[in-house]
Amino acid sequence: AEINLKLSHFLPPVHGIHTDFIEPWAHDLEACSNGKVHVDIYPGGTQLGNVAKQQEQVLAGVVDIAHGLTGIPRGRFPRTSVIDLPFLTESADAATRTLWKLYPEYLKPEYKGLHVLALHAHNGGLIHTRDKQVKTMDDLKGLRIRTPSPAISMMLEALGAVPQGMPPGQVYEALQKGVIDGTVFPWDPVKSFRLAEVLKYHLDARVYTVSFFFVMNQKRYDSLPDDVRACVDKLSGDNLIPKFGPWWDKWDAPGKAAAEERGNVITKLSDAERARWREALQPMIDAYLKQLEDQGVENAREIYAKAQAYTAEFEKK
Amino acid sequence: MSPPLLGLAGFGVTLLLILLRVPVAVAMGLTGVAGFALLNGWPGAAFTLGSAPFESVFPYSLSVVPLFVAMGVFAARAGLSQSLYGAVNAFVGHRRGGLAMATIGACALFGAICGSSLATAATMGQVALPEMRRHGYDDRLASAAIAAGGTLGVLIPPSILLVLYGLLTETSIGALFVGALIPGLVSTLLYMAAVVVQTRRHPELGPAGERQSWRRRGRAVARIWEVALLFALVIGGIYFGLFSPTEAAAVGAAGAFLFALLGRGEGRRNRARDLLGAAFETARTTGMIFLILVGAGLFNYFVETSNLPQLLVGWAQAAGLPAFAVLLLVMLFYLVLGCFMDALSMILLTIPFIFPLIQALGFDAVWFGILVVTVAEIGLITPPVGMNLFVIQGVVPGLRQETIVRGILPFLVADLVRLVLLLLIPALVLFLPGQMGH
Amino acid sequence: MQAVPSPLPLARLVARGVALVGLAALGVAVGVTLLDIALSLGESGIAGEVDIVQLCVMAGAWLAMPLAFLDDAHVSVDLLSGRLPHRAGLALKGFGELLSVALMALVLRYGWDTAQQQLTFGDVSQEIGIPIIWYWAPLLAGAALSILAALLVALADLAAALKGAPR
Ligand code: NA
Ligand code: NA
Repeated sequence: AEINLKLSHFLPPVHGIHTDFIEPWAHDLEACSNGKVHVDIYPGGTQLGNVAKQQEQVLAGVVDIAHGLTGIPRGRFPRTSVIDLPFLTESADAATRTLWKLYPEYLKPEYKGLHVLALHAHNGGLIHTRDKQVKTMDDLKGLRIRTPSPAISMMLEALGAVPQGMPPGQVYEALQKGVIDGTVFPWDPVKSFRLAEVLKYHLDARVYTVSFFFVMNQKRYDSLPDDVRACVDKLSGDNLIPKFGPWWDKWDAPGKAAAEERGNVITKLSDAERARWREALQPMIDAYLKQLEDQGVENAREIYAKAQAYTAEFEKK
Repeated sequence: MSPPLLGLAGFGVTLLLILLRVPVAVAMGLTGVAGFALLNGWPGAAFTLGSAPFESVFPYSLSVVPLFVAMGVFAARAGLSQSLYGAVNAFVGHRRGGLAMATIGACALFGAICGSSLATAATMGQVALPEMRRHGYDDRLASAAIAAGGTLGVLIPPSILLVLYGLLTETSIGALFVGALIPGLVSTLLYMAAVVVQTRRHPELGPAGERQSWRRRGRAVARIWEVALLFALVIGGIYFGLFSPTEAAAVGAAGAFLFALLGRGEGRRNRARDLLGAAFETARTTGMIFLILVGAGLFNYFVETSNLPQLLVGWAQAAGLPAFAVLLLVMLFYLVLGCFMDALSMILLTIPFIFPLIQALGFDAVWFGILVVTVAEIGLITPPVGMNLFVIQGVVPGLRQETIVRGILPFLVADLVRLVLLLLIPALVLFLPGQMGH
Repeated sequence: MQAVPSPLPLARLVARGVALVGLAALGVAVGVTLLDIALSLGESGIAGEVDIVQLCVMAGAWLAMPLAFLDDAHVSVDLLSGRLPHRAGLALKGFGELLSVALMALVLRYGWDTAQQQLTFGDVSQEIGIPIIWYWAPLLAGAALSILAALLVALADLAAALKGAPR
């Protein structure tokens, strides 16, 4: 091939993101370019698969395309992190479409030097616990819960729990020996990290989400011949965004199945309780937006309001 | 030059630099940077230079490395090695070659609280060699028993090699530790058998000592409670899910430090100086290991983007060899490489392109990890570059390299027997991890 | 890995002092972990245990580096140089040490750039927000002192190789 592209991401090669999304995407690009392009993929576990380096290495041109978490290292994408705030949406599809609609007007300044191929977010996450069933806010009091992002830490604190940060790979051991009482996660790690074995209760709260970027080095993108660039365009943006909702549903399914298979207890958060949580979390949401404003995101509240409007619009569809 | 060929050349240049006495870490690091620059341009290489030195030290799971190092060093200063030697000796010392068997047993027990082979060999060398010489043992058997016994330090958990393998391949460190227990026991017994066979043929190598009374045996065993306690806390804690590896390592390091501070170590009079010495030894070893990790990180950036690993996987698949034949080739490759390299650098240098191959063939990662550490460990006692052989020579002034090498052969045979056993009966490795925690 | 008697007592004194700072950090890591275990038996735990331990290990590892260079603790293979005449062996050793200087200089130069870049990003640790530059400080200091340490050892070895004197 004339053009070799390097694509890195941080998930293990068995994860759906690799098998359903990244790998087929690379093949489609190769096929579309009639073999002009060859893509080498560096997944999690390789030197280029470090979760904390995805943005830096695509900016530096060490890889051409990267898929990473917007929240690690924390604070790199403050505008995008608005989507992390609790109760925006329950659905990956709505969250993903919202991010994409926010992107041109509100999020773009954070992605300087990057050609953004897609942004996406997972289905509303659950609260999984070990020994204590959580049905109401009061049940959360004093429980040590593992948290993925600063926004979720603030949320857990506001709900009375004790947030504990730790890398996802350690959650299994920490749960097994009771260092933490539970964790917030979507469904998929329940299967992929075998968490079903060490958990007993799953509260289908769908209160939060976590977002991901899929980006290309801007200079590299600009340097591509027209026909190849057309192929990249055809495989990204508006054409890629609608696929994430169904994908996330698919990736979550085995997790739920694993929990059901073990006979774990799955509860849905009642509507009344949901309203209570939402109210309790309003001060926390204000505090988070204030923090963003202090960090220089002057229109944080506007972004949040738009996000609320867009998610409502997309959830109806 | 095609990228995979460049990758292969980089591997050769690294070996050449190592042969020219360039520190292993530096050889890997510089070749890695140069190779990456050739493949991807200088800005990319500059990025790896800003990344690997940080990211190779930063991961939380690496915190066990300095802690297990400290645990071994302070346990040695606490004089635990003498008690161990005394305890095993009380039971087997009256047999022909008994002191050599005691050495191996004590090495295995010391290995249970020490993560490194070199430290195990060095520590037991100081204790056991004078004792065996006093009883008229031939240096050939005496030095080889220590060199071979020392390799148990890295197989019997805790093991720094297994930690690094686990991190590199995202395999559970707890499962690796527990999986190494039975292989560690098997190798201890095989080494002891090697002593028995040798001394039966050549009784002059290791004359029998005096038999000890049961009372003295009891007392000798009671004296190793510190080691028993540390092992129970560290490995028991991991096995029963009480501690994460980092917590177990912290408990072990703190315990060993306390024993060195309060215990009956030989340097009671110069305790402060002794502790300081142990501290500096911890620092030197920690610095050494992490520099190798940094060098390996830089090297891996290069190897990965050279696509050499993918090429090897492709070849293996195209050649149509049965999976087990490929595994045997890999083992052979490690045995040969082990003659020229030390275990740690060998694993860090090769796992990035060997492991994808092993994964593609569908072998179990825990089982393969134990196999790799087993062969890497054999490399510790194969001439011309056997780190343990050097260490013994360093500890015992006046001992000739040839003497150790001549004595080591029976132990190498024992090693090969063990390797075959592990290859043929994976359950030796996989049974215990299967029982773990759930 | 035996310590070679060094003509550089002052350098060793400094390197040992620096290494002790790193070891003290490792002591803190042990303390924090043990305290976290103890508190976990109750109902809490230490906020940021992971962040703190990572910081301590960065310090423990990188501040130990200069001492490891001064004391020849870095793994190298004596296969060839052990068989060469004494002076040639020393010259080879000096060559290896000069390459070590080169590597550490590269690490310092480009580590500095990356640290600057992360500083402008405003990076902080994942859990309790320790500024990322605290993690870089021991790395950059360790690399800078390692350059000096390796350079001193290299000069001593090369001088001894020229003069034919034992080092
Ligand atoms: Na060990
Ligand atoms: Na060897």
